[in-house]
Amino acid sequence: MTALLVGDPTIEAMEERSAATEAASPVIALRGVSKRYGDLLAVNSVDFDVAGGEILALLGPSGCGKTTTLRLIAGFEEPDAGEIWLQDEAVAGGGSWRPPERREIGVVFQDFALFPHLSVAGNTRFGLQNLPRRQRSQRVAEVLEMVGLGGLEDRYPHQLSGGQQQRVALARALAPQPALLLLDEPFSNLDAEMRVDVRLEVRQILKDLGTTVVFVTHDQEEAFVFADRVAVMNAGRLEQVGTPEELYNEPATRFVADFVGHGNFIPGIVLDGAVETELGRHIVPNSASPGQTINVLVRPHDLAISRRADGPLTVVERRFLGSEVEYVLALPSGARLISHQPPETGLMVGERVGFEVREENLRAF
Amino acid sequence: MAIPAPSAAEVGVAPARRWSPLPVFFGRRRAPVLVIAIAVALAAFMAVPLFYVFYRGLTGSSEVWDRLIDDRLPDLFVSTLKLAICVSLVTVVVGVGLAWLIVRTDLPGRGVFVWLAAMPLSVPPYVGALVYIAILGPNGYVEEWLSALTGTRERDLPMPEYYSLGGTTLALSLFTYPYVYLMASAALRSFNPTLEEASAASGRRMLSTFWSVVLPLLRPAIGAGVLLVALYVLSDFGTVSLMRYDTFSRAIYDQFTSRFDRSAASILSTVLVLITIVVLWGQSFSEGRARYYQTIGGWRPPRPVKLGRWRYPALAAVVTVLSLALFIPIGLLVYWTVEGLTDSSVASDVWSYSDDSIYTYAWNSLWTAAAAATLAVLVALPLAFLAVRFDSPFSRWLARLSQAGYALPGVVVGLSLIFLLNNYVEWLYGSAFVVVLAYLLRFYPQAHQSTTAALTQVSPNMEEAARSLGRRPERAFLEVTVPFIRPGLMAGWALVFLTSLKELPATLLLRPAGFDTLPVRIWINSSEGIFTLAAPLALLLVLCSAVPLYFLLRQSRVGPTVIT
Repeated sequence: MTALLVGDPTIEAMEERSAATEAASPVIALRGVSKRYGDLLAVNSVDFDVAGGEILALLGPSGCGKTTTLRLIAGFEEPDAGEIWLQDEAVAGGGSWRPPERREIGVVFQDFALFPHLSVAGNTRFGLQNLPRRQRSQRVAEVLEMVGLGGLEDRYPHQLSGGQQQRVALARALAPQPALLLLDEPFSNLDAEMRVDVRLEVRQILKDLGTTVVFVTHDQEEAFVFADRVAVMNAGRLEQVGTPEELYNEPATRFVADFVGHGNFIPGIVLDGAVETELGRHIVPNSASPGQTINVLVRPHDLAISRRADGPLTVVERRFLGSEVEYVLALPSGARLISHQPPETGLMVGERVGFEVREENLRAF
Repeated sequence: MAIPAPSAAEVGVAPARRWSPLPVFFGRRRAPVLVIAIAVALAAFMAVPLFYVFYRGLTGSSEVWDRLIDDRLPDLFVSTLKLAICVSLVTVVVGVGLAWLIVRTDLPGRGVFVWLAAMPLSVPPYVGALVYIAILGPNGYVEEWLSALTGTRERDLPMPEYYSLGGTTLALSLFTYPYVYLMASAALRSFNPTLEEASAASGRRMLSTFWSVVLPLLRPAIGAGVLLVALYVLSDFGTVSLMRYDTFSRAIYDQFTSRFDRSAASILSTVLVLITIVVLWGQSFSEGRARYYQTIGGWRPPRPVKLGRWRYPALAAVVTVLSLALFIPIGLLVYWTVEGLTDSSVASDVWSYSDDSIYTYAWNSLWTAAAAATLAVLVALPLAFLAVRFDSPFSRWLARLSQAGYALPGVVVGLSLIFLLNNYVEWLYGSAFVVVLAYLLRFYPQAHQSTTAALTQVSPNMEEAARSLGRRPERAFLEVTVPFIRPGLMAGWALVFLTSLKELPATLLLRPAGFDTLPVRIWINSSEGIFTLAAPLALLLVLCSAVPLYFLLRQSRVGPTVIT
């Protein structure tokens, strides 16, 4: 790998990185991938790698390009620029093109796209045409057992519940042992109650198999629970890739900070070495020059409050969330802040409170 | 090979669009070039007769134009329009009334009426016209019966003239109202009952709800049905000829076959096609809204309206309509057939196995209709595939072009093909294949629409799933899409088959000498007034038509599709 990088000014940084991931080159790699629909740049120069056995979530609001990215990986769309590498081979871009049927990538669609004219076994067997006939039935039984559908081989899709259909879709995609599995909003068609259980179950199956997965979701909680790493997309661009903790604690952009978890944004003016806000003067790392206005992110857990008759904040709303209480607080300027506190805090609407900010967790954009 | 490192320089640079002419026409994805080529060729082929009619008409001599404008056009225009309006009005009342009674009320026997009310579609209107000539016409059964009853001579009876606007309206309405009935009942079935409940909750009574909520929402569906009726009236030839009522179709046929005036025939055709296009434009307008309307879909079967003391009057009305449109015509055909069987000379004429027997006519009808239906489905596959999967202004335009036959009444298709073949492909003229070609051109839109509707219901994900599981595009289409759209393809086939089977004017004009189909023979026998000879043929034709019609009705009850 390093041989190709000779002359690259960032060679040292690259060598460090390649040392860290030397054991396994990525299963899938995107390099500057772009896709345009008419005037809309749906995917704009996206780069990321997914290592073997890793689960990566593409997270973003609807229309951010996450599904298009998935379709580019699957081969349903051709990129206008950039390259896609699958297991060390370019499959799209740079003059190469491998159609979806030769990529060995499994796909679970949002609507499952089960073949209505085939039984559960027929659907599962669909991708096994390269296997000797005798092994097919064995493989079908094996996969259906794995996803917990043993005994339902002869049912047809319309005779199954949503959760069962989802598992058939998973079984069908996994049966040919794909190098990579793509999931497009795989849980959005399920009831809220069911979703939590199915999610954990599916994750367990995929982890046991060591499958490499890219999955698309607009649900931050789902991305955090299901994925090892999360790639946040917005308006066709990749904003940040990282573990859930990294995204939450070290958001790279205001969009990520806003999209991932709750957050209060307070305007502040940059002074020498600190930022002056309505919540006081704090040391916040930033790249703005003195005199500029920036937004400081205060997570609800980083704003501690306590009853104080002359406190600067007023409780405007109180919502009981079970394990904690969410308070909506009004600043003297009228701006609102959210703070999460243990239930025993016991503040009432209209009370005045004092506050304390955990300065080391503040971020500015 | 090694994966290149991400390059910081590339980030944020919007790539230029790669140059290629096809994506511009075919939207988001590039269609396979072979499919495009096939579709363009087929669409062009289907549209040739339409453009040729215009070409002939507009290059017609100005003298003939002047003569026709002074002499024929105003009268024809008025009489054709009058007939279209009268038939439309009658079919709306009958069609919507039956649909509402059968779908939304507790009418006794509605489980059977649901089917029966659509069955008059299997009786070609010219067969109906001949039945009612025998009943209501001069020296018909009614006159005979009245004169026996009153003792007056038949010609002195104060009977209304049957060969008139009224009589023609009756004959056409009784056998075309199912278009409105089917559209309206499909719309009523998918009608969201919550709307009626909301109206009731606002204090409206049943009748008031029907006028102020149900009817306005049904209007697009009714409009679609009425326009089909109007299109039929414009294209009808058999009924108006038997009824001696002058419309464009009849005048064109006359000009061409009796007066041998090709120029006048072309000019009249051009005007008729223009009228049809105006009507079609109206249809596409109302169709767009009908489609929107059907998506509201009821998720809960509506509660049937209790008719109370109107139950039996309503039942009587439904039975009367069905008697006039179904029981009496079929009964009379059966009666004549049996009567003919007892007459040995008639029986040998009809049933002997020769070139002029019922078997030959039936075989000719069946194979030409089946061939046209099969061709239509084959043509529809690439065109519909392109229109659905690669939706773009160009593919939509292509689909519209391929459906040019909608604007071509049978007489005009016949005429256009005669001119085209005589001038350019003479060796083909006079072969039975030309008849098949005429059916294909004229009825292709039905196959196109069924196939398009079916394809629209197949999620593209289904094909993509097959590809991700290792199927090449054409295998994915064959293994996944085709099984899924098979009911739609069969519906398209059945529709083209049904309408081809009943087709009369184009067949009359284009058939090779001695090549008679059932409709042709029925028409010849009944214009000569030999009902006992026409009846067995008509009965067989009705039976043959009932089979695909029954299949279509069964299908339309499963899905939201409506046969048109």
